[in-house]
Amino acid sequence: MSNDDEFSHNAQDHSTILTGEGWIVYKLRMVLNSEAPQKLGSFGPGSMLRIVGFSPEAHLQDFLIRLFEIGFLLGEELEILHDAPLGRDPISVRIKGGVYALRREDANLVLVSPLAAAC
Amino acid sequence: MLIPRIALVGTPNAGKTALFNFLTRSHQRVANYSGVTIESAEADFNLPSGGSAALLDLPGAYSLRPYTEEENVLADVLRAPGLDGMILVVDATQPERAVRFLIEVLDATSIPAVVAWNLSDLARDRGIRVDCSALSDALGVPVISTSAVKGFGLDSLKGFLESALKNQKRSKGAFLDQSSESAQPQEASQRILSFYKKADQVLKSALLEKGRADDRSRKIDGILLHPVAGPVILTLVLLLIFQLMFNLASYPMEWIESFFSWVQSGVADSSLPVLLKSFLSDGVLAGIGGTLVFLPQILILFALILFLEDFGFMARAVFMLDHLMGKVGLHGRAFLPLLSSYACAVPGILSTRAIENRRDRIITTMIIPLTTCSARIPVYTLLISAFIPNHPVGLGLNLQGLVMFGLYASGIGFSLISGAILKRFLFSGKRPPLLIELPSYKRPSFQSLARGLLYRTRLFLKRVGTVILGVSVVIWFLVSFPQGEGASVAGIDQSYAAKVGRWIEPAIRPIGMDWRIGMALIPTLAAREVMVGTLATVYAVQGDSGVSNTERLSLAIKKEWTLATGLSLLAWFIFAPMCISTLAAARRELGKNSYFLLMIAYLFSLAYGASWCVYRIFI
Repeated sequence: MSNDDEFSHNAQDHSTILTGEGWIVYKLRMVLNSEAPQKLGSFGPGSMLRIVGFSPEAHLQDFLIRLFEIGFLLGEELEILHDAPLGRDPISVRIKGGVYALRREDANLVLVSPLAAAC
Repeated sequence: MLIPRIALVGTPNAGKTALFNFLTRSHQRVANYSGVTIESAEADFNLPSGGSAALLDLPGAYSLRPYTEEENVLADVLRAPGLDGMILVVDATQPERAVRFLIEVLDATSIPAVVAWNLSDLARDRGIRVDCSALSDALGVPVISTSAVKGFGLDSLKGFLESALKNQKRSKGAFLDQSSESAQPQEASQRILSFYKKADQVLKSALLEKGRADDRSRKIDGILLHPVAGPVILTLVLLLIFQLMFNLASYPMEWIESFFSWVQSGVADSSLPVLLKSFLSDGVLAGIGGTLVFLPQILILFALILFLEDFGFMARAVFMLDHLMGKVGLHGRAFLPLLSSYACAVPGILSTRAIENRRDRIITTMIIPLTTCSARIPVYTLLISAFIPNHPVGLGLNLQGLVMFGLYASGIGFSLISGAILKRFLFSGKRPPLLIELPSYKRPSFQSLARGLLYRTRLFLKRVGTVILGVSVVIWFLVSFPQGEGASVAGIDQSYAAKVGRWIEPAIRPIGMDWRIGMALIPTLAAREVMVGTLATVYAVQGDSGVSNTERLSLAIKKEWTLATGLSLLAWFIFAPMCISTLAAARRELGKNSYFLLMIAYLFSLAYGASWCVYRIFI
């Protein structure tokens, strides 16, 4: 399970991520951590993932804030439970004890890295 | 005496409506609040000391930042003066999210509040343990562990509410004043994080046991969302809904019909003056009876929808259908409004508010009038029985059934095509995002369901008693006056209605209709089903014993109209946006006049075009 220190509720990270500057800092950090961020929408059911960043897209800013509100925060762990029968889209994601459905294309706003299989 | 007004504010899927249904015992009414008409219920309930209070059921929200139309309504109501208290309802199975929401709302308002820590029985089953008194201390308001469905914790909730109402206002938070919706994204996300941080602190002491994930729902989802079984089950459920709606409803519908014809024959045999008899029988009873007949269908459809929604299946249906509906430019959430519209378009249009995105909401509202609402059924039935022979066409089907199916199918087909075209021309750019919660499966509460249905019934009866009754009386007047010599009616050809019919005849002659049909089309503005009654009056179908009125009317129009005219009228009814209640609801939801006018224009053009084509083909 996650330990509390990894829950980096750092306001700075979330707010600057929406600006270009923050994004560059972010990218850099990712590269330095050699933790290549992958898009949430590219994973299938059963994946256990951790949120490592967000891909800022201007027209989806409101939606991204809604994702923050329901708990898609930096460092949060999530699991993909199902995908819809037709077109394997949308996917259902369990996060903070709730289950939400997202289209893969929209889920790509969230950048993740896989958790180690053993947990 | 003014009674205190209490708002029920909560997150979606936290059992808010069940709580509402259990707290209130007296009659529900549609709430009209500070100039915001919200189609949610208001009802009185008793406080422990004996006084009463009004409870206002507000739409669910994830936050006060208005992202959906419903959240907008909530923010408006909370901002306006006049609320005396709030019951905040949150989902105990998701403590972090619940506490974040509570902190946000409590921070933003100064209204006295109590918290219903709801679904606590589900939370306990999953091993989630929370110290409610620690929560109360941290949040500064009473937190009561409740289960609305089991009726547990509600008395204590009312007790705390009453003492909260007596106390002074809480110190005012600053957020909701003006800033929350105009806030910059950076600011907004910063605020969310600070709420979550505070929630973390609160829960550090109050959350005793984190519990486990909801494995039961996961197992059920394993079946209901299965790649093969999922779609099959969904199809079966939809088939079952329609089967029950039409077959099961046919029995109570027959009882209602025979009851009204029994009363009508009683009136006919009475010694009342002729004019009064005609008024009671043709004006009042025909109008009310003709509409009341649909109540069973509407109730059955809504009972099933409410049941599936409470159980948690509707969210899964949206999940499975989103991809398919996306192909024609619709949002997965449009599924529920469209399904409701098979009973009646008005509740369908109102439920489009659950769709977050404005453009999806507009498109869904604009195509809803094309779904075959149950008010069209009597007209379809009449015209089919008059003009379509009952030939078998193999596979146990007959031509009449096939035509009925074709009418439904063309309704669906054209609504999808129109949706795709409207989207293409009105809105460009990418499809707006989808986000729906797949709530834990819950056993539906039958008491809550029954109260939900009772509320629908009351709304429907109110409409029958006001709009429908009023219009039928007006129509009766137009058809029966001016009166001729003596006490006899001068005949329908001389009536005011006939004048109107003749006046519009030039417009409808190209589609094969004459002034009599024109005359019968006017009252369909009130409700489509009135058409049958008006035609009966126009063709002077009198009630003898033996054959039913409908059968006699069917014979009469078969004699008077050509096949082309009959089919043209059928085509007209697929498309024409004729019911005033629907138009009023659409006008309110579409907001801008241009969309509303466009909707009327495109529906009328489709109706006229289709009728013209059909008439030309069959003449």
